[in-house]
Amino acid sequence: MSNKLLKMIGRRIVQSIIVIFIVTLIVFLLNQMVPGDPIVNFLGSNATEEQIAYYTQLFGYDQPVLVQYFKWIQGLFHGEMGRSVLMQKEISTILFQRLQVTLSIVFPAFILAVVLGVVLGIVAAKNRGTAIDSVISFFANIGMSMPMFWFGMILILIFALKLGVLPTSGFTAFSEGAGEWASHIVLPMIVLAMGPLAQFTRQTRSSMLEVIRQDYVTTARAKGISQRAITFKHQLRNAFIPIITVMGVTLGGMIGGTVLVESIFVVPGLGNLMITSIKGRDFMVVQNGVLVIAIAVAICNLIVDILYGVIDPRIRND
Amino acid sequence: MNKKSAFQKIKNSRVVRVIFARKSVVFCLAVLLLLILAAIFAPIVAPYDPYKQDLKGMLQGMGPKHIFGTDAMGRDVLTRIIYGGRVSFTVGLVSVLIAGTIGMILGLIAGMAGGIVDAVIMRFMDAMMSVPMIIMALFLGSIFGKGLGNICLAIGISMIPSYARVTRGQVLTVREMDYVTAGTLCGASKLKNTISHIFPNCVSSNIVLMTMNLGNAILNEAALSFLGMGINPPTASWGSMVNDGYKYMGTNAVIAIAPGLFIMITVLCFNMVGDALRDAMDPKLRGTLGKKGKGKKGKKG
Repeated sequence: MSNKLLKMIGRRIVQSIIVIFIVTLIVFLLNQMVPGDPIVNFLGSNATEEQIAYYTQLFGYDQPVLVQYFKWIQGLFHGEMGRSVLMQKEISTILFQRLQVTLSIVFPAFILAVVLGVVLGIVAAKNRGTAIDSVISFFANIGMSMPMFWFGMILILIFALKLGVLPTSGFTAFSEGAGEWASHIVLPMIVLAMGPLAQFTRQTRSSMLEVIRQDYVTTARAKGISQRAITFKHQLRNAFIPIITVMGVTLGGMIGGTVLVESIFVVPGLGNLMITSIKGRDFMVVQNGVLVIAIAVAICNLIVDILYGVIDPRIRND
Repeated sequence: MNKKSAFQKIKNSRVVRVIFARKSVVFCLAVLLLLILAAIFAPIVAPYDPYKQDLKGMLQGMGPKHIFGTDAMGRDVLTRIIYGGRVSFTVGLVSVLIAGTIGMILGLIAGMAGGIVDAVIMRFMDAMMSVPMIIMALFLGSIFGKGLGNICLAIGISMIPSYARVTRGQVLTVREMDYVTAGTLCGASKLKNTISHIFPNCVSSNIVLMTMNLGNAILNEAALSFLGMGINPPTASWGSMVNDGYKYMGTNAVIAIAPGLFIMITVLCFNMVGDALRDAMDPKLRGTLGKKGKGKKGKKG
């Protein structure tokens, strides 16, 4: 790797750290504005004043706001995230388990969307103006407009209720059997992949159309290079830069999309955790959950930036 | 300028010509117009009362009396879909306007001020962007509470960063233009320059972004309502109707499928119009679109 590329990566890492720090500030401040009390919520309406006071002190919610913030940040550096009021467990343990579940759906869905999206986009661009192009573009438009939860519901109706070939909900870890795991994640994966797949298809199609008639393509053709080599080496490599941008943004969006997918398919992942904690006012879990998601998104963006530099020498020389 | 010539000017403008050259977009506009009119005139158009319960006639299937059947409380689903359009269109429009206005102001300030102000604003926008929009909206929704106005605010705020980014980018380009320098030479203050030269040049790209985001805003409202954090019942919202109907999926699927279909159609139409508007405003495509006898989408001439 060249020196310039390393410098660029270093600069980006510093930027990401600053952004993550601001995220902690925003999330913490927003949490202070949420009405409701996690302790009261957890203990229920029958709790005595003493009980509430005891638990409030135990979880540190009685301390001044600034102290709470610094304690949180300090804890993070020691790898501690505090305890969940609702679940009475260490938050880091919960988040780690949930993140594994979520990623085991997000990654296959992402790969499916990228591979299929790029292929369909190329096919549409190559057959521009024909019926194939129209059909692909039409379905891409539909895919971008479908409410995720609704699509998931229809898939459950067809594959689980009518045909009975797949389970309606739940999750099995990969370690407990690949077949069970696959049958549980196939529907959530398709639902999660749908929107991004449509987006990749559209982006690939339009990027390919941009490069299809560039001078260097004509030159390559004049040199007698095969069409396949032109497509993959000359066109796709240039078309990939905007596609990668979309990929980075989309991967972050997919992590957010798990909120809906996991709620329909009752998957015990990060998205489901976020809903229950937001509704249950489990502030510490929300705070740390959003932080973990933001870090994941930041890493995605970082990877995208590095890929830019690798694919396009012009960018790393800037 | 009299009224007629203004109308002529709009009719002949490139943007209008390009948009109307695409038959699919004209069709989408017609569908949207129909849905919006139905939502506005819901009390006249809708066949039943959206809140009147009829426990004897609950969960009816599709039929001549109730096209999409009735829900678990015996309310006509079609009626509730027509009323639900009010929520979707209001949230779509208002949240996009909130996001566009605040985002544009922030982008203008960041781009014009530069330095530390720029850095602070944009890093904040980056931080907001690194939290997925739906989670941000859920989070904000838990602060503001349920209800139409609060949902608009929650979704609107979660969409601010993209407008701030687009506006700032635009400001940085426009700022260096000769006519801005000319303005400065003529003694225009920074504020005057911003208002009369730079701001107008940022509007069009923001309008395109707003149109393209309308669909997303509607999807987000539906998602929040589906998760039970959106519009308060018994007000009809497409998202909460899907959620309510979900329980009866095995027996009476239509009451959940129909409202979802309306979400999809509406979002699809807004996306198509947004795409057409973006292409029409794109100077790179100038001269390749909207010519007579060339109705096809021509990305490259």
